[in-house]
Amino acid sequence: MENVALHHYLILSAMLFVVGLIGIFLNRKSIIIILMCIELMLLSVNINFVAFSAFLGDLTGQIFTFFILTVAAAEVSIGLAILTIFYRNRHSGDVEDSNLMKG
Amino acid sequence: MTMMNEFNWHFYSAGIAEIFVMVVCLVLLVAGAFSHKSVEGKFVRNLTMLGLLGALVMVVGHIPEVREFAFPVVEHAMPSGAMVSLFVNDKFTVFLKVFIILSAMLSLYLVDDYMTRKKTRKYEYDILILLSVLGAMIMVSAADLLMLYIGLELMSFSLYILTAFHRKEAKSSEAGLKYFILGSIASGLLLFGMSYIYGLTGETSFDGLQQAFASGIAIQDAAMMLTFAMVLFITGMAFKISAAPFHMWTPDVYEGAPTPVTAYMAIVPKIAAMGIFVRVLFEPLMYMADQWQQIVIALSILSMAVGSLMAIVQNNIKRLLAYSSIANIGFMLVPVATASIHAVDEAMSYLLVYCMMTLGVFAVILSLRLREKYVERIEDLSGLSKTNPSVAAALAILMFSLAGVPPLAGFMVKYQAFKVGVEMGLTWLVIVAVLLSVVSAYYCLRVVKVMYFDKGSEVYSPEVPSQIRFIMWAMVALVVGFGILPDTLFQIPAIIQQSLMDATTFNG
Repeated sequence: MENVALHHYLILSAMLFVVGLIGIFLNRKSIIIILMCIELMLLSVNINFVAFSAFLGDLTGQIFTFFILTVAAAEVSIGLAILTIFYRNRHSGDVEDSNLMKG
Repeated sequence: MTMMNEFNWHFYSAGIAEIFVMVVCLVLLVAGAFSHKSVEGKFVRNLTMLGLLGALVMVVGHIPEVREFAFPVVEHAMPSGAMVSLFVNDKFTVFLKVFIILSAMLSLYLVDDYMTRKKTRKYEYDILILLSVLGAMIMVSAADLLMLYIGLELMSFSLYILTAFHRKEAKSSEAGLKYFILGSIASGLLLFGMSYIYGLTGETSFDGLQQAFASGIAIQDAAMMLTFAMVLFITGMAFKISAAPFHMWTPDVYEGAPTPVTAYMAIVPKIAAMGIFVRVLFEPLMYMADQWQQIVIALSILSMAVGSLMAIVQNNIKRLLAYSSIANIGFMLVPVATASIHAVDEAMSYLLVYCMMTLGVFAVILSLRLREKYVERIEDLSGLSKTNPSVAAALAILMFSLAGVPPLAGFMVKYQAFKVGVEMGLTWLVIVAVLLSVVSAYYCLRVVKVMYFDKGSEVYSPEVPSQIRFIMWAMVALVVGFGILPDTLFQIPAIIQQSLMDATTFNG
């Protein structure tokens, strides 16, 4: 089996990050998908940190990852809570329905 | 190498104010849940005020002469012998924290009347404000990318919830949703940049990063990647200070959020984000100035242009203030764009005066009601000079100051910011800034014109709550006073600039 080098991890995480970012902007349907894309972005950052941490032999990156995981959990719970009250007001969770304010 | 086996109070004393605010938050959560419905609002409010006051005393009571650290990372000490810490306290952070706490207290005074009328008075509001103040304080004291991230997120999360606080209003929840999504994208970009900065230098502390960049090794090996990482990082920060082209959330969130939240959001996060932005640029990224200078110049021009031009067509006064804040961030970035640390005090005094003007304007907005509904459209202000001359005069003075008319404080800080820009050789940028500040004068003066020269038919609800009246006139007095005595205005930022300069030469 060939060795997995640092750049393999970096390419993987960059791809995940871009999938997440583009997913947010191309997605025209559900806001839930946006939440999943945000999660994908944060997790790709985690891969980066862990890979760097392992290859540098420095633990800081892994500690950082734990903080990001925790914050991401808080983030998504706040996001879902806001989405819930949005749904109650508009009876829809679609991106196109968040159009009360423009300009 | 420090031993951490026994508890050493010295390691935490510099962060005492933050620890105190955190404890107050936790106590209030319990107190609010267990106190009786009829008293909980007042009870929690008083305790919040006491908590903020206590934090203020702790911050002011201990102004460090040299940099102080807290929350040390034990494993590795710097070659210079300095302690590697997550948290730093110096005059720069003290200035920003005092400024944050005072703004938070004043903005809490604006809440009561509004929330009581809208029947959404809840004790959670105060706790969320307190949590976001805690986040802001942690953020400006960060000496490490990790602490910066934690503080930023604590502040932002509280603000997402506050924006959606009026949960029965569609606009409020929509604003919260938009703020949440765009804010999360911003922190994703910020983190991605951070991960590459960490990977390429092996450091997350500001001191360590500064040394890594100073030695030039990291820059030579992976200059492209490092610049890329820095661009992502600055993009994330630009989202938080709402600099164009990352400003899309600002108008919607300002409009949709409950007005007292907007007042808070226009001030405290701006102070914190701008403070840490300046610190990051001039401390860890100091040796990357050639690269980031171009980015900051671009952010500055775009913010001024977008803010000034888009504000002209706005009809809603909260949206107008949103675009005005974008434009003002652009003006604030002019001294920063010189990439000279000697220009930091101009940016900070601009920030100070901008916050005073904004708080004053929001106090005015919160004091005006037509048929028991809060005024939001600009044409609703017509004839205000007849029906409520004192409020109209206050708003006119604040708008003149925002437009930059001498001898008000808004003019003085703009003049200083542009002057330092010319001195540091960015004359062309200053010319652009002056032209765009003429444009921004238009939308400010339009408000004055509507108030004084348009015929109004409606009568405003006469009574203005005394707290709001006090804040309004206090801000007007400060704007006028600092305009007449500008020297006092520039003294404090000069001290904190010195403190930041000491910090950047810390490692030689």
